[in-house]
Amino acid sequence: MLRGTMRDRGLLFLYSLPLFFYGFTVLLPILGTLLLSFYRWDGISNREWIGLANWGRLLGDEHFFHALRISFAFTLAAWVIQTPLALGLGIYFARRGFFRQVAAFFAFLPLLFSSTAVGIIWLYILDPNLGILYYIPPLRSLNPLSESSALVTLALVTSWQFIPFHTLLYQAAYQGIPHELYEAAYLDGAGEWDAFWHITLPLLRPTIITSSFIIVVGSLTYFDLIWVMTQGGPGYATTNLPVYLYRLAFQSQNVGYGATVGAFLALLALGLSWLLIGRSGVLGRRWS
Amino acid sequence: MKEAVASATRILAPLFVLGWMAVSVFPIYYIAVTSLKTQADYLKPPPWGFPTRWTLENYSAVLESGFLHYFFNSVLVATTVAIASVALSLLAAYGVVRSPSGVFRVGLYLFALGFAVPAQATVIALYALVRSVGLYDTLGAIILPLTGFAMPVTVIVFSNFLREIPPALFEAMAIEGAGHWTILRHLVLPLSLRAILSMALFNFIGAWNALLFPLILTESPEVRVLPMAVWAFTGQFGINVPAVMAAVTLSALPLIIAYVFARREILNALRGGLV
Amino acid sequence: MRKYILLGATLLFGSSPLAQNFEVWAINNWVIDQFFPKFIQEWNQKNPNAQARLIQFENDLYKQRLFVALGAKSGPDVFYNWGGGVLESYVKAGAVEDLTTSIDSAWKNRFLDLMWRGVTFSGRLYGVPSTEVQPVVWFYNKAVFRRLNLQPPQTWSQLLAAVDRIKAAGITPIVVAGGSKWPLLMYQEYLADRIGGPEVFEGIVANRPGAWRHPAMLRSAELIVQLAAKSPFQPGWESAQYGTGAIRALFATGRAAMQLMGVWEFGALVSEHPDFVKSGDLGWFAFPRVEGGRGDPRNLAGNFTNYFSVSSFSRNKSASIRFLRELSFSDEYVRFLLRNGAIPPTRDVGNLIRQEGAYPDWQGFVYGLVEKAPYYVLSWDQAMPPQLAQPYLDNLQLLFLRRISAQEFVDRMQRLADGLRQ
Repeated sequence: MLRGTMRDRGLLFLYSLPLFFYGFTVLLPILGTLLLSFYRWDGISNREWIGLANWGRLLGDEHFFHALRISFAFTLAAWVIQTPLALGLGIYFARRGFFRQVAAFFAFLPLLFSSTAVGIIWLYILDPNLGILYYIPPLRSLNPLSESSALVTLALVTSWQFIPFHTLLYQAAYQGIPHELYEAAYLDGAGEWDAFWHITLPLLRPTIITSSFIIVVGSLTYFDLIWVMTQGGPGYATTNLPVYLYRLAFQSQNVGYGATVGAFLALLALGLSWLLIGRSGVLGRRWS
Repeated sequence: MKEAVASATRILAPLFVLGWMAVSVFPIYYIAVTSLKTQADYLKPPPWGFPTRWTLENYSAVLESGFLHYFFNSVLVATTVAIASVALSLLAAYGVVRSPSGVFRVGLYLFALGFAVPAQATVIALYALVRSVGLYDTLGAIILPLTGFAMPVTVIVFSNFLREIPPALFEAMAIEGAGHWTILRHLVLPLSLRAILSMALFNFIGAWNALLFPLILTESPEVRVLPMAVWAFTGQFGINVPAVMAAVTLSALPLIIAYVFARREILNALRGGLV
Repeated sequence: MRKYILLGATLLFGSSPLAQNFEVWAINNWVIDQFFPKFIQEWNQKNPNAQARLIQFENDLYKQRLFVALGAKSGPDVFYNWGGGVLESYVKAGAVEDLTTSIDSAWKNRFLDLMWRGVTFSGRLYGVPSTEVQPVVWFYNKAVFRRLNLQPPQTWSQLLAAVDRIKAAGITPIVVAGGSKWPLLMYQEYLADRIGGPEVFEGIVANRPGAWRHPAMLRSAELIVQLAAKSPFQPGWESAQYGTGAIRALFATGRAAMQLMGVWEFGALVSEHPDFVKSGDLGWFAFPRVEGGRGDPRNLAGNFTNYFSVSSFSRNKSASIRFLRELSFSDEYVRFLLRNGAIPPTRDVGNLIRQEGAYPDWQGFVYGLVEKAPYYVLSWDQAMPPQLAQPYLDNLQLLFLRRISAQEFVDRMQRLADGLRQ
């Protein structure tokens, strides 16, 4: 392969265009947030340099640790709900059959709506007084958005929205597994369960990793639906890190401290990125 | 024992899937049916029943409140983001694949790192940045960060895709004296059309449904996009649930229509290169 | 097609509005929705060089948008606000125009003296009264009360007893939008005042050391716990949002008996549930007194009124001020408010109520309250600075949820207040 070298100006120019754009719109703001975390700012008056004071405060902030716990709890719930279901559905839809195709068609619809719309719809549906629950007497006493159940409810609604996406990933991956593998296994006397456990699952491992990564990252940073449905409430029951950030910066007028939470989120995400992308080899599996 | 489990699964699976279908579809049915009711009708139980009087008044109310304008804004934003992100990412991926040397590798890692960084981590600084550049409260303020954040995934997908192109093809063109531009236009573009369309579609959908950036970086109704409009509707028409449902339907309509007619393309788009 | 390209380009890269036009920002409420479009249209016809434009947001969203806009120094020209500590924080940041010299005595005398209090800081005026006088009162469903043989409670224990009776009959005693949080403070602002008088909140606003530990504060928190322990609210109250109007629907359809809310709720009921209002089943009573309390039971809490202020970043201050003056002196506006059951903050309106009021019983009731009130405390979340108001609302919700005790509530708030004093 003719290698472009550092002296290949044309290539460098072509490459620098997207890099600069990306740097300006993504990297610069990330650095900016980090910088803001060293200031005290209420959003309207002048900024005031306070060094590491915000970070010190973060370490002792019970609300922050609570938001961190909520973030992880929500992520865990989302993963536990979505992965088995998407895996099962993906395999189911991968096979031929009229019923399966029709079901696959309809099962995809939730993904077409924005998180805002999904949140609003479910808010109406789940209203204990005027929604569906009220009109089904055995379910009337349920309060989906109570302090104890709000987080699970949100995880369920989120899953409703995104399971179609992960189903798709698993479906495509499953369809890529050569038939012969299964035929050979059945010839050897293996049952369906064995086939699943020893052929399907291992071969789907990369997809599981990719899907899980997307779920984890998406859940840690999920904002839209949570804000529309509960604004982090009741109390702080559904206040994850992004919600905490928003409340700090835009409600309490504590922009500098909000930026600190934001910078923390960025660092957390970078760490996860490094862990999963570096390990899973999505980047350079077949690097020549 | 294992056979029992397998047979049980075989019987229960269709039932379960049927149940899942119902769960998936019911809210959407609910939206559709409610949007065709009058407000008085909505308060009559049961909420999932058919309207006693079918009406399109909610749709006209929504359309009359400037909905078309928000729709146009969303189209503008999503299309621009789709095109820009794909174009820029293709250039970046090309650079990465054509030259594995230092600078380019570092660049690739930078793109990859942005994969997981959340929009919220940057939104405050973006707000300050956008203000100082004078772009506050314009569609440009939304388009720029949305494009930027769409790039990591797109660059990774394109890189993986371009790596599949046999190096010999590049060499052949280079020997004939073709410059990078020519190679891009005559070799890369035609070969990666599928991936390009897929990612354009993927980023279009993402930009269409984005809320956070418009929420923070814009304010006037002129530059309002659909997710904001839908939410604003709950304030304006809050108690008028049928009207809100009409707004939701209208804002999802393009995607739904696209899905019905171009299902395969959309599915390919979402599978992208992530598998 | 070209039009769209041009429009697109303008939207992408910013437009440059004519320097003379100005924007009027307000929330979504029936007064603005129904009166302003026509008023602005007429203004625009008379003032082709200074066109006004109305931009509205939902209530909770509005507060954030305003904050962001003022911080961007691209703020609106004329903006709706509630006066008090929040406006004061904007004044201190230099974002609000001092209107003292522009407001002549005729303008000042147009409104009740009390109304100017919300926008007076260090003796200067930073806004103009508008919309309606907005104390908080109890609304109740007369049909439900009749059926249960209940009278409107006059003391706190009577209120609690009524809650028990109504609950036993299978009806939701009280509806509240606990998810929005600010409806919850209406309970505390009255209780604190009824128990300890105005000095309690005055201490808090002045952030005097130990203000939150005033015995009346603690007692008010205890009474809240007492009420909450009876589960008097509708299911899901802790996530219910005021903006969706679901609360109102519950109340108007008789599934709930009482609601503590600002008088603007009356106008909303008129427009959304006119049959209910016409049926005569909508009743009201003032916040009961608390036995053993030192506060005057005639004291009121709520918003004085809403105000319009002019931002310092306005590009057409003179037109903005003229606009406000014309609004203030508009008799049509006063009549519009009266016709819809609202009470304008204007002077000498008692007679007008009898002549023009569409709901003279109701309006007479509210005006009577305002006239006779020795003291009127501004809604706490508007009077306090935002850094304190937000955490206050959060902790108050936790108190109602009984996740924290009354003592802990008081301690937390004191700690927060102390933190701000530095």
